[in-house]
Amino acid sequence: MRVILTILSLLLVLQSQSLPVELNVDRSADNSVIFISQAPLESFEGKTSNIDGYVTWQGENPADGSEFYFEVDLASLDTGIGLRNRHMRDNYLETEKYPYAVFQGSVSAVTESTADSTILTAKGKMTIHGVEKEMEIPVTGRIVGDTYTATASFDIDLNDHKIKIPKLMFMKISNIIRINLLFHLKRVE
Amino acid sequence: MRYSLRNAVFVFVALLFLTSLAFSQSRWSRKEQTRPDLQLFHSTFLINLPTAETQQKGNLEFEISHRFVPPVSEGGSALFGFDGPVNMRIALGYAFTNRLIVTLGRSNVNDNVDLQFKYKALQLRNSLLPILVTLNGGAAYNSQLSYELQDNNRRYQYWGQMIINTMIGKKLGLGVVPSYVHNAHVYCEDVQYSFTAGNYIQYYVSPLWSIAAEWIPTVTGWRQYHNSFSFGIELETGGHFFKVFATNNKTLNTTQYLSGADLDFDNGDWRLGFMITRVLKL
Repeated sequence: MRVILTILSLLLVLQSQSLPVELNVDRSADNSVIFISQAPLESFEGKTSNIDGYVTWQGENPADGSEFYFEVDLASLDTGIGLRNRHMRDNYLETEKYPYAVFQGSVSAVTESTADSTILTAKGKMTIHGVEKEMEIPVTGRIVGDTYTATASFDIDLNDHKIKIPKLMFMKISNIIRINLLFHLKRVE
Repeated sequence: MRYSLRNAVFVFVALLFLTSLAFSQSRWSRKEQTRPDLQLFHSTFLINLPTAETQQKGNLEFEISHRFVPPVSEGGSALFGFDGPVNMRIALGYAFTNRLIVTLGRSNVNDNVDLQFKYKALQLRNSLLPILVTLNGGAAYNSQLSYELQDNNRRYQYWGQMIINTMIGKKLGLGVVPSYVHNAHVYCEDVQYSFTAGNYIQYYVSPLWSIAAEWIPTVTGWRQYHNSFSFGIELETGGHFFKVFATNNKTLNTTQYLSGADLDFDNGDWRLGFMITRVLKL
């Protein structure tokens, strides 16, 4: 009887050790998604704070049984000029058909871990304009108090997602777009 | 005794296993989606008449327009109108909010200077017939007249317009613009007014170009010789709208074109004109 009880309590303890961790994007925080286009005749950027999603993993190691899903509301992107935003929404990104840019997958590795930051490799499918592409993005994670902050910087090729820029605009809009992310997450109990 | 204890253990472990499975489902769910302001026509003007569109807060809109006064029927000797003279308008608008744009403009016809306020008042979203209602009103001052006026206050003119737009599908835009002008004819002894029911249609052939036609019949009040009629082509590039059109009206500022046209369109008497607008950010 006592043996059984100790086995049971051991099982219980082991279970709580590998309880999943879930982080959700903190929508009330100062999140930013910035894209940068640098073309021969013109450079401009677009911004939104509208990034959302979650990441979960088992136990201590983020690469352990992890899963993430992040989305950006593309209709909220602002380049500073209303007409340009409209062309982006209606003609290039077609946000009515494809309202979100989605990245989902799992944390494949945890490299470099220092006292205050960790670099994780997020591996998954990036879907923009309805077309998906496999990507591996290094993400730097920091913990300050109970807030987790993630930053990442990577390039997207518009051709990979069948986003067509008219020939008239090719000197003003680049096909390779740099994306800079900075967002905050909170643990969900 | 052993039998029931074993069952209890199985049940307990099964419960633990099941609850851990439940925890592996994420608890995230999507919040509200963004919805930008309703926008129908692509540009802020059809030909003479405005559309219900405004500009994004902080953006500027620059306009330059010409009317080549000699009608095309004057032929090659007048270079189909391009020889001139030319009536023109230049204007600059500033969007104080996404729904309010204030524009200062000037035409060389009577050196008419006008200040207008355009406000996107109502957005009715509907999958079949979305509707926008924008109010446009302003005042104009005629600084250089050909004849002296008894009362210099008569140099001032005022107007109000209600711009109602809808779009069928993504390509066919329709608009109706009931308009009122106060002091439509500055030289007339008594103050005249004009009430017109302008209407227009625009078809967007591709993201690059569209065709448009506009008719401004005078319902009541003063009118010059004929109702205005115009038709033409619009080109849309990143930042610019170029319009080239034929019209029987040779004036450009609101209090002037709403007062009617001098030529008879039905008679083939129309002249060429163009309008360029550019959206800028400081």
